[in-house]
Amino acid sequence: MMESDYHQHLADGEQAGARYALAVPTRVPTGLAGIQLGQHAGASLEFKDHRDYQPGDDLRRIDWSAYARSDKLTVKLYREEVNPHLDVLIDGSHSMALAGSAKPRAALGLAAALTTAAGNSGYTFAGYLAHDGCEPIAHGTNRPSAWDNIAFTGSGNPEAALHQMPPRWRAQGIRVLISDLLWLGEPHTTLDQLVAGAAAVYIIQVLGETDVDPPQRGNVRLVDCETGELKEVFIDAVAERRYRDNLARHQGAWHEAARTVGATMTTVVAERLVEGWDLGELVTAEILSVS
Amino acid sequence: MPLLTFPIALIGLVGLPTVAAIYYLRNRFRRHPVSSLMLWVDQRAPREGGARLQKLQTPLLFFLEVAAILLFTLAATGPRMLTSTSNSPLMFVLDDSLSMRATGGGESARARAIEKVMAILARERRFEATFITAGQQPQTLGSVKSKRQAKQLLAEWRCEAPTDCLGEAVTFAAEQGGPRARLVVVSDRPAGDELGGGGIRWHAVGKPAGNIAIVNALRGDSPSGERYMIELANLSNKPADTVLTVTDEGAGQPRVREALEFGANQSRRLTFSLEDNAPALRVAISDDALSADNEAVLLPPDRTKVRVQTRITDDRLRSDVVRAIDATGRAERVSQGGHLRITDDADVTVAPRNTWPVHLMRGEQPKAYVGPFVVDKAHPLGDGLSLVGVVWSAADIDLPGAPLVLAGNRVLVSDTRRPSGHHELRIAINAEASTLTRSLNWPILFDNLVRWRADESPGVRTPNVRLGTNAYVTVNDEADRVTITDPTGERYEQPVTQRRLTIPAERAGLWRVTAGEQTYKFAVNALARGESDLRQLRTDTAGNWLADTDVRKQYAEAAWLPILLAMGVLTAHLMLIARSSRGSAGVRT
Repeated sequence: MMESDYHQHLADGEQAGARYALAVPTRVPTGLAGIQLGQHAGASLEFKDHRDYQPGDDLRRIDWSAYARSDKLTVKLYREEVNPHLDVLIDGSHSMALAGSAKPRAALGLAAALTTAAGNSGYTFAGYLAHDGCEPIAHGTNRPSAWDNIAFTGSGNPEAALHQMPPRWRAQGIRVLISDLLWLGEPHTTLDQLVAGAAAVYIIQVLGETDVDPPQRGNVRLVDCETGELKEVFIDAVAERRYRDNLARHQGAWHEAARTVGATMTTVVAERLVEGWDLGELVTAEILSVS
Repeated sequence: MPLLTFPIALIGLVGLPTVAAIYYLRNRFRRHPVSSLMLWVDQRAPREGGARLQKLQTPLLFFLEVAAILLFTLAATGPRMLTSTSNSPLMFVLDDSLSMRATGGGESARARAIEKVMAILARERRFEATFITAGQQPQTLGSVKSKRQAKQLLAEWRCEAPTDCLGEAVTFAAEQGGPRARLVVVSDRPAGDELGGGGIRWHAVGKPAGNIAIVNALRGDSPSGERYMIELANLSNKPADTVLTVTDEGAGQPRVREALEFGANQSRRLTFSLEDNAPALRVAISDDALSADNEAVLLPPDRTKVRVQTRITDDRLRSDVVRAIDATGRAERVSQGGHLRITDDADVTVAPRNTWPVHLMRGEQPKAYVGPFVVDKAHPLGDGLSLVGVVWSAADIDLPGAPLVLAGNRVLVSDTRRPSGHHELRIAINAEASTLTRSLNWPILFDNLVRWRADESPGVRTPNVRLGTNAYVTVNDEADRVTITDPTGERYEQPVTQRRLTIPAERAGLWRVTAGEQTYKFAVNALARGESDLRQLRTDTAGNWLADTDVRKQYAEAAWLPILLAMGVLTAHLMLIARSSRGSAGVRT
């Protein structure tokens, strides 16, 4: 059983995603061949183009005959293959249901919108919830409004869940992580698991306004909603600036890691998103396209 | 310290709950759930403390602010530090007036006052006491450091002044003792305005009583012969009676013995005639509450005449001078060896040793002066002269000596003092063209002249003087020191300057001044109606050392101390704020 509101959130997302289609990935992570051709060079057998060799390229793809003719290392580019399947991993930790924030509504709505858009694109999809491990969402392959047993009660984070029990990813599929990314850890640890065998990886960071903006000035007793740990601080202009710097630094680390592994990362503020369910940011990030 | 009586301090105390409220509101922690504390790891906890035990830190700034407020509040109450009372001098102001001798049927007020003083001293472990008598003028009797010395010194406290000057004496004592002195007034009357703003302990030891007193006693010549007058007053609200006796000095039997009855508050004047050459008289009434005013001595008046020799050629002027001289009643005209020689003869310039020459200078071509006239009122000749409306005719003659009367820059009367002490007077006057001789100023001028000359002759100016006034004695040329014997028989010597002596009449009775072979006598009588009236005397205690000025005297101002401490606390406060601001921007200071 899950909270009745969650069904509504999923329905809202489903309704919002009805107007969109999942975009064909423009950035391709390292992975195996898929069944759908992408717009970029990949590992399929269909030759697309040559380009100069760059350190790190697969030596197996060097065109030796071209080298013999031009004495120049050139690699063959093949069109990528994309498996039309979407795996959505939702961060099921407590922080995603932060009291007073719209994070659970946004997270579930986003998952529903993405899967709906995937359906619109002819993709299959599956939903996972990162608790102590990554568990399939009940009825997660059905339309989102039918999903069940979703609860943001995990005490860990997606990194730990991926390590403990990774989901059964579909090879060359598109993988989406919906999380606030607010845990201490190396982003690569998570991203490496996500991109392994994926055609594309999208990281959607869902933050509440309370995550973006520090509390009002004064004495504040902060309560970690996952661990219950307390910290008393005095908020002033300097503390505010320091908090924002920390958040920006944390987001920068994730962006940098995502860029390195070829993943796409975007951030949405839950309250602003659910206000009108405008998914323009995902369109801008080339995750969705208007169908 | 009565804190509630200091409004400023009360206002200051309002700061305490204010600061406490500010700290309470500022230190109150709002609960705020967050997704993760990872973004807050480098934020420091506030120093004001919190709910968890491990976070509790002393809110030092709060305590410093509270301490500063308390210190400023304390300063506003005007704190004082107790100074050593043993070093605080005792200043006794002793009423030295006659009424302190009143017995009121038992011991005198003076005796009770001494007991009171000794009782006060007995309570002091160590003391330095100064006694100031308040008679006609404040006088320091002396300072003592032991009760034995005090007792000896108080024996010299006589209480014979005709009045008291307690107000002046209190001021004098306060000035002498300094700001820390403790003032004690011992009198027979209750405190009045002298108590002022406090800080004075006033012990009244008097007892009200009725009293019949001799309030006036005169003796002198009259056209019908010598007489004396005595005024008696019943200073009581009840009828009383007494017996008056008048006895010749040295005689056994009184010449007058008369029982007198008085109604309440009644006064009576009695006048008696005397035969020629009557001796000194001793007037007395029955003994009562105050003995000092029950007796008077009346010496015969000085009947020594001033001998005046006139040698005036102008008949009219001579006539005017003779009439003026005779009108004084104190001069006799002689042809040789006078005390005064009045002449208009310019050729007569040499005078005997004891003769004062008075030159009436006619001159040629006189001018009439109508004023304004300038008169030296400080000179014996100028006493009572008013020359308004007078036409004074005189020739242009330069008169040597000190000018006494001037018309503009023209000197009309001058005085030249010789090295021997005698005087030579010059008067420029043309009697025919002057109205001076027809005015009152003429006899006044000669009366002044005769009186002045008489005062310069050896003798006592006024043989019967009131207590508290001065007796003036002129001795002969040879005396440079005199021996004075007061009514108690005490004798002391005194140097003489320019043949004159001024003796304060401080004690009632018969005084004697001996200069060589010559002895001069004068009587001092305690004729002080105010002191004889004993009805207003009281036994009372007023004033307190622990109030107002006395507190200031025994306690030094100490407001500077809490203010200094508060400034130190505030400095520490600022230093803490500065250090906290440098150390942690996230920590509230």
